[in-house]
Amino acid sequence: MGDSFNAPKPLILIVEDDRPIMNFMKAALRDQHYRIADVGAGRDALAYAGAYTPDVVLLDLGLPDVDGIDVIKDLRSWSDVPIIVVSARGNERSKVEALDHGADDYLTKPFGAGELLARIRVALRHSSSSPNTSLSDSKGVVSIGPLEFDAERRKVRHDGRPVQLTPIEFRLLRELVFHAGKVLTHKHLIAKAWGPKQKVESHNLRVFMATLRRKLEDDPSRPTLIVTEVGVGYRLLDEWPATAIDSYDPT
Amino acid sequence: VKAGDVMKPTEESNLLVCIGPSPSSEDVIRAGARMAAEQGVPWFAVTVEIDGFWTPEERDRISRHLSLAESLGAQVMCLEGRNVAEELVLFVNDRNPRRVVLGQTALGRGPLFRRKAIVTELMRRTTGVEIVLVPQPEASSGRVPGTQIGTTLSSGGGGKFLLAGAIMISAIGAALLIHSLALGESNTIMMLLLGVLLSSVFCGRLSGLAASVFAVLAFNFFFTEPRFTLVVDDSRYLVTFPIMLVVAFVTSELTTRLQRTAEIARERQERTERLYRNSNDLIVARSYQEICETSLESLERLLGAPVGAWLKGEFLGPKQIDENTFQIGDANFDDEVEREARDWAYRSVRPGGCGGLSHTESRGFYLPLQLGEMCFGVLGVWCGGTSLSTAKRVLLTAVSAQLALALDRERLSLAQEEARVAIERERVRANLLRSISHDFRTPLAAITGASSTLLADRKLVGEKKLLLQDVYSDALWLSELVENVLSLTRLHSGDFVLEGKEEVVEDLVITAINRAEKTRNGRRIDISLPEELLVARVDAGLFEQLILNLVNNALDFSEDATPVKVIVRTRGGQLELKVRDFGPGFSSDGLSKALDLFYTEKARNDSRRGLGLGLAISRTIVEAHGGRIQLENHPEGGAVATVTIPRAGPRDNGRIDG
Repeated sequence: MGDSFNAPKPLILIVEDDRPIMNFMKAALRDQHYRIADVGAGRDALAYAGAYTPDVVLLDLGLPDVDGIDVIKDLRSWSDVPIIVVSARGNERSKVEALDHGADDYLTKPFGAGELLARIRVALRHSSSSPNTSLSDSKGVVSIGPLEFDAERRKVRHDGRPVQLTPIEFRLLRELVFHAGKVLTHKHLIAKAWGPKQKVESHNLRVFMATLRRKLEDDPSRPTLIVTEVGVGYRLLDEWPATAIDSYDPT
Repeated sequence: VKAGDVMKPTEESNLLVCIGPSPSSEDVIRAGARMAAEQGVPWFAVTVEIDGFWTPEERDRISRHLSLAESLGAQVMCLEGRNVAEELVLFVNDRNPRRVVLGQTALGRGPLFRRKAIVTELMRRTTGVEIVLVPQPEASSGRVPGTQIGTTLSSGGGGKFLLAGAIMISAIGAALLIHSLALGESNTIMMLLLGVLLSSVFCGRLSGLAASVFAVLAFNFFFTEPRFTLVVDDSRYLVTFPIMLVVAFVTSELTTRLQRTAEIARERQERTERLYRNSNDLIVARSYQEICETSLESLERLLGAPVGAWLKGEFLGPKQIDENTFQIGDANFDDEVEREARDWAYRSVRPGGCGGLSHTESRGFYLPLQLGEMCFGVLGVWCGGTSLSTAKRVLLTAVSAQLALALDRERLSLAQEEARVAIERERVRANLLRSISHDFRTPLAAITGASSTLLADRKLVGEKKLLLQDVYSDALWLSELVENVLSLTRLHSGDFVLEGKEEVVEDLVITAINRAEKTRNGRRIDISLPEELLVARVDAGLFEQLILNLVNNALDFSEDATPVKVIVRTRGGQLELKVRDFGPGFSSDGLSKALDLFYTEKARNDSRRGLGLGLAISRTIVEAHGGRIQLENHPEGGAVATVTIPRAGPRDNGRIDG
């Protein structure tokens, strides 16, 4: 965390109607000394966010009073606060919808404390000023694990070896690197790599991503850089070693 | 058309077998049945019922012949009339059978009657029909009514003769009055002829003939000179008498014939009407009991004899009837002999009892209630020792067909209702399961999350940490189980349609295996992917779950030290996925049943784990994708699950039955 010693700890707003889940999230976050606010309904969340400007919003999509998507739309109309949505497995469509409406990331129940904290860290990093300042060095080169990405010179190195990328592959990787740690939806990546007006089938994107992975991963069957979020999109792992952001390993 | 109003055939029949009372008719029937079978055509067995002509023994034989024909698959018909050849010619011209099979008796060699042979008549008056004669060794024993008219006289009975006498005496009285008033001889004769006519109308044919003779004699006696003698002076009367006799005869004959025809027509009309009403009543009848009672009422009125129906419960479903005997009229149907005859008719599915093919000593006649392969029971009529008339027998057949159809309809509608209830019950159960599983998700997520938070505490050591780890891993395991149950209910919900998208297969495989590895520490999973990028049309979430289930299953049934191998490749344009472990493999029972829901084998590590859902869901997912899953044991040990899926996606939108 790049915060100075005296600066207040980030404020996390938890919007969750299930008491036990709320309790565990609060406990996990309090261990990391975050400041926490909790509300159980969408309307309260909007009121609170308006009054106290939290640094991250954790939003459960299955709220009792309003549709989670409406909360996102409302928040996004006046705030850039990172939003992490929480939803059950199998709801890929609602996750994608939430992401396309401006949510930054998502968590699938059940999730562990480690996963929760990793998502919060990524969200906080992206909320502070320009993308990936924390990752880039003085020359503007971003290094993530074995990957070195030089956006200005359009050069990519892996373990020091140069990697040849097609223009589309380069644009895809640039988008992933700029949003390292965040999940990017198929729609988002297609718009960035081919242009927003282009009609591109999503399986074309998948083929490009698979090729990109083969160029960048030591063992494509054990990806350490580019992770597929099935039914949603892709994520570039930005905490090294990669296992650190996976769910907490209890052994 | 006279023929066929007793029973309309449902299809054009191509072979007609004529049946008489001759014992050799059996050969004719068998020959006909054989020909029909060879040609693969339906066939008719026809007999002509002549009022009062057949002796009881002959009638009995005809009935047996009809039973035989019925049991050999014929549609049995009874024609009514006074003349066999006439009725046959009419029938043949109406139905146009291609072939008519007759016994040799039809050649008409019988010494008793001078008549034109039936064969000659058929050949003369029909066209385009092949006539087949079956040789009969004892042709002369057959008695065939040929073209003769009026071989029998309806026995009027004493009362009718008395009435005729009274009519004639009144006529003579009136004639005497006319004579005394001198109104002329012609009026006298007319009055006498009127007497003959009235006698014929009211008292039948025999009385009419007697009245004719009586009228001529009375005319001679009362009105010709010399009066009150049978002597005639005027020789012109010798012309008058025969003419008068002939006129009286013809009048009488025509009247009775007309009456008889009208009567037959009326009877037919009534029968047709009753059969029609029966079938109408059967349409509204709504239970086995109502159906049987309706039919029996109609039948009892048609036959004028006690009737009964005996249904066999097992053909109507186990629980639908308690009372399966229905009877109308006073008859001893419960007799041991009757019971045996019924049992025989039911078991052999052939007509039995009096006039049937077996148990002829019984006093009831029993027809199986047959529809296609099914026999619902027996329909019976009490004939008290002598066979039913052919006409009644055919009526019985008609009613039994109606009854069997109605019973079958009822059976089907009950079965349908039962299926509907079962589906509804299944739906309720699935909904319950789904909502329970759904409600499990959130608490399980809370348990997982809370235990993982506690485990993050580095100060936690020893037994407490172990216990907490158990809480965490069991909660994770339960979550997987709940997800599987939810997928299963979704896949089986009936309105599920697979939404396939073009997916890169290795993405899904890798994600699933990462998920499996996350919960299985240290287990090795080897992945072999093809060089080319495999794209297949699948539902990403379900496909991921499929791989996860197969891999988890393999991990459960093999030792920690052994790896699990996942091999993805294309084969014959299809996607092939193999998951292999190095455990003991499937038991022989497991090989055939492991894909069934709730089948479990004892897992290596923990007997509690496994509800038998994983592989069953895998199969459902594979089938939803239009693919196949196959289990086998590797020759070098270990189990192999092989999935093949068409890459283009399921052809029929991935609909799942049931």
